[in-house]
Formats: sequence, C-alpha cells, structure tokens
Amino acid sequence: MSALLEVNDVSVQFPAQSGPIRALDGVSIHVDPGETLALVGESGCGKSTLARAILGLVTPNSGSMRFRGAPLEPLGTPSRRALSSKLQMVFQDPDASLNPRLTIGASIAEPLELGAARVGRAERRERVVQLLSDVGLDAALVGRYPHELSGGQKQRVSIARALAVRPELIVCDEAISALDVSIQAQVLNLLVDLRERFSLAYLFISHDLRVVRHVSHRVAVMYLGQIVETGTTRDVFAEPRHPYTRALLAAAPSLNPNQPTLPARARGELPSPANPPSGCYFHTRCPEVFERCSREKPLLYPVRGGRGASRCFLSDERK
Amino acid sequence: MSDSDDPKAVAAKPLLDVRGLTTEFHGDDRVVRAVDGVSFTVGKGEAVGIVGESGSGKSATALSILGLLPERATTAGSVVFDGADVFGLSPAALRSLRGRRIAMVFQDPMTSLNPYLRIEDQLAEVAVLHLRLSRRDAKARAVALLDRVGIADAKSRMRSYPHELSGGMRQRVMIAMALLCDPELLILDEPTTALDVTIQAQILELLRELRRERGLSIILITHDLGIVLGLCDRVMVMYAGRIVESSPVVPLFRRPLHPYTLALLASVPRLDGSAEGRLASIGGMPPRLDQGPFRECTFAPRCVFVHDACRTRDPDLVVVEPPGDAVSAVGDARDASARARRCVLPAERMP
Repeated sequence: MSALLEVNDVSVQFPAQSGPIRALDGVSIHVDPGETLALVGESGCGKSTLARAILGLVTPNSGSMRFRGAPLEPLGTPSRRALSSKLQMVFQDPDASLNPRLTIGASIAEPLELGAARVGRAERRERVVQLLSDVGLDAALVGRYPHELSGGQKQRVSIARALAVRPELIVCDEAISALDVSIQAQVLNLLVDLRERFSLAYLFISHDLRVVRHVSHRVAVMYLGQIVETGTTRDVFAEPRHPYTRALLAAAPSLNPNQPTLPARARGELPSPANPPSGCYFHTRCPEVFERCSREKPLLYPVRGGRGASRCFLSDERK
Repeated sequence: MSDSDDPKAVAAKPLLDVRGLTTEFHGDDRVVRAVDGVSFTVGKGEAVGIVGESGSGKSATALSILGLLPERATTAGSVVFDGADVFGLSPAALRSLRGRRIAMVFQDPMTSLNPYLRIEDQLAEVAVLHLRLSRRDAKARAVALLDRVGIADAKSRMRSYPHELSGGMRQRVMIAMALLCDPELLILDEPTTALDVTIQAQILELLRELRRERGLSIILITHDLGIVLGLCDRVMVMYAGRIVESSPVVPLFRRPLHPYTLALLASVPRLDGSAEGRLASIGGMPPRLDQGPFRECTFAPRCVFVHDACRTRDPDLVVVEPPGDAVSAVGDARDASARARRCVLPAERMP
C-alpha cells in the first residue's frame, strides 16, 4: 500500500539570537490511508512544528514531504491549493479557528465557496445541514454565533468545517485537550466514527498517552525535535522500548486503586531545544543513562522484529 | 492512602469546617449560583480532593473559603478555620490568615508571580511581611525552601526573574512560597494542569513527600481523577455547584455510588484495561447555573439510570455508608469516613 503522507528526514530551524533552534531534527513519518498515526511528546518536542510543516505553515530547511506521491509545496503554490481539499486540520482552540463574526453555518460553508471544493448556493446549504448532523449537532445551530456555543460544540463545528471539503487526511493538533473529560470522550468517539464512515486518516497530535492509546493505530514518540520511538500502539504500550516512552507511561496518573501511580522516572527539567544536550538528547533525564549516552548520538534502531524503532543504545539489537 | 489520625478524632475537631457554602455571581441580568450548599470538613493532616469539570464550582468553592471572590459575588453559609469564623474576620485578620496559616497554589504560576521582581525578592517579601523576619533571615529561609522543593542550585536561582524559569520550576517556586510561613492548610487549584506529564509526576511526588513530612492539610482541586487517587484521602465530586458524591478515595474508585461519578470514571481513557471500542461518554451538557432553583436532579437530563422519581425533586446529599452503621436517611456527610451521594436510585441498581 502506498502511503498517503510521507515525511522524509525533515529538519526545521528557527533563527534566534543565540543561534538557530532546531525544532525538527531529521524527522521521518508516514501515514497510510484510513490510518491514525499519533504523535506524542511534551512541550518543545516539535510535534506542532511538524504539523505546521505538513500544512505548509512552516518551510523545512531540509528533507521532503509527499502527499499521495506528489511533493508538498509551500503555501500559495497551485499544487498546494489543489491539495487543500485533501488535507485539513483541527486545532486545540476552536475560538482561534472560528471567525466570531460568522454564523456557524457560514463558517462551515466557507471552504465550499472557494477553489476545487466550490459548490452552488443551494447545495452548500444542504451540505452544511448534513455536516452538522455528521458531527452530532442540531441543524438549528446554523444561525448561531460561536460565542453562543459550548467548547465541545465549537470543536464539533471545527471538525465539520474540516470535513466540508471531503479530506483524506486531517491533522488534529491537541484537538481535544482543552475539553472537559466527559466532552473529550464524546469528541474522541466522534473522530473515530468519522474515520470509519469517511475512510479518513488522522495525524493525531497529543501530549496525552491515555487518549492516544484509544484512538491511534501507530505511535511516534518525540523528544526535543527527534522521533525517539515508533511502533504499533499495541506494541508501544505493552512493551515500550525507549526510556523516555517508559517515563511518559509511568507519569500518567493511575485510576486503579490496586495499582498506585508509579514514581516519577524522568529526572530534572526538559532541556531547551535551543541548546540540546550532547549525545542522546534524553541522557540528562534518563534513569538508565550510562557513559556512552553523553558522548555519542544513538540512531533509530529497529526493534520488535522491525515493527518499530527506538533511539536508544539499549535498543540496538545488532551484534 | 491515609496515614492521618483516627477518623473519629479528626471528625471531632476538624481544621476547616465548611457548612452550607453558597456563592452567587451577580451579572447584569442574571444570577449564577456557582456554589450551592457545599458542606465538608478537612481534618488535621488530611488531604481532600475536589473533582469536577468546568463550571462545577470547585474553584469558586476554594475562592469563597479564602474570601477572594470578586465584588459582584455574594456568599452565604459558614467557614470555620481552627475555631474562627472566617467570614467574620476583619480584612486585616483575613489577609494574615491567608498568607500565614492557609496558603494557595494556582494553576498558572505566571499570574501569581510578579514578572518584574527576582525570585528572591518575591519570596523574601512574603517572609518579611508575615513572619517579620529580617531580610537576611527571610532570604536564608527562601533558599532552604527552594532547595527543598527540588530547585537545583537554589542560591543562584534566587537571582532569576520568573520568565527565566521553566513552567515546572515556576510551579516549584510557588509551592516554596506557599510553604514559607509553614501553613496548616494548603489549597492547590489545578497545580499541575499547565505542566508536562513528566514534570507533573515530579510535582505530585513532591506534594506527597511534603504531606508526609509536615502533616499538612490539603485541599486539591482538579479535573483529573487520577491525581486525586495518588494524593488524597477523601474526595468530593462536584456537579453544577453541588457535591454529588463524597467518599474516602479508594472505595470511590472501586465502586462509585453516584451515576455521574460512574460516568466520569468510565469516560477517562486509561492505560490499563481495554483500548478497544468506544469510550463511555456523557451525553448532553451540564445545566446552566442561572436557571435554578432546580426541581429535578441536576444530572437527570444526562443520566443513563434516570427514572420518574429523579424528575419530581432534587435529591439531598445523603449518607449511604456510615462507618459500622446501618444505612440511615440523615447522617453526617461531613464525617471523614462516610460515603454520601445525591441520588435517589437504590445503590444496588447501579453496576
């Protein structure tokens, strides 16, 4: 099967007074049609920069990105415009992505007024009503404004807007992080239903491993601009190979009274991406650090018979 | 979980005793009852969690206790701290109580720290004001506490400005500041919500240690049930301004007694158990708090167990499992080991 999205060895640097900040450091991922790849990590790990690069909001310094085999070009080029109907996004804060002066109906209809997805007025109205029902909202909300809706409803509107152009891939950047738990579950279930119904693929960016476990097929864990572990969701949660993945899993508070929350495994603070540590970027916080880690940079070694990879010397199975 | 005193002794003389706390915010054309008849106690050395979603009244409860509400809010009920009626205190006495004996840590340390002052000046100011220490002693105390909360190289960090610190370090500074006057009660409002998970794990470990070390009483306000399990003895679940369930922590996680608690626990994605299938979600939305008084159970419109009796009146908070006692209609829900809930459904009808 050919990948829907391929990202190959992409690096992004931001200029800063103290020298360039390496936000992405040789990142490669792929997303297959109908698949959900989760991108997990903490602040500064580069997960949002990667999303922005894929969406054309940031131009990589090196590397290549392809969608259905065709190169992803910068925003504003004709090929990117043609792609906009295939590639959509949902961000964390619906208030930042919905125009407060547009009614819900107008917001959802807007992508249908332009470019390749353009349709006539009557069909637009029909599609908006259908989209509202697809995301579980009452058609009566058409004439309302964003401020009249709850956070969960607004996020559903953002999803409807992304769906309007019938995309193949939706990038969800912390799309449910700002919602209350009970609403989070509603929106998460909605995303899974829509994926099945419309054969969507998601690049699902989140800091919350508990959520990721329920929604994704595969996981890529990022730390300071690098991928440190990849694998199927089942493998990564059952048998995490990188010490950072294990620290992330240990840090999630337990809901089981028979299984107390584990002691914190990662020591100290997250280093600044402007000044990453020598050798393995995680060695300053790693509970399993040894002498080689501060001297040499580990590669992304294949693990679990090639079904995953881990950037840790302890995962290097070559003899 | 609990290493506090004998529950009976705790109940006899709680450090904090809140009764019938009701807080209303007055807008131009509506009144929002954010907190509605909340009663609970916090014993010496006890940690109580208040859990709820946005608008459940958990933060408003804490702000009411501290007398930190905006001008357009009114409060009824009583708050007694170590025998003193908090609402009856003069503004000066209240300020002194807040800084010295009750300390608070909020979600976002940036809103509590002055961006123009070095860490040492902010910490020393508190110690000079409340403890009447000399500047030198105040600084020494501040360094010792920064060191205690895990800030490496505390002495040189004292010279930093808040923006030079990471989010985790700023929250450690806030905890150090809260501990400066050796408070008896620490109120934590979403203390780790803005932090990365690995840093959150460190802060929670620190709070557990401090609790053990100092015998602090704690009120922890959070939306994350897992954090409560890791830190608290007792938990109160709030919904639409009221306590809907109150229980020692472990029994609540084993067998929730209110349908909302049950639904809330089921809707949190977890690392144990099955990852297959849909998450249980709670349909609908919480009621608008400017539309009371409610004639039915406020959770009824979203409850999967709803039946006719739920629609006829709004149930009271009733003790269902008093320690070593038969089920009684009216017990003291404020008892540390009691399990109470606001629901008319027989408990055996819940799974």
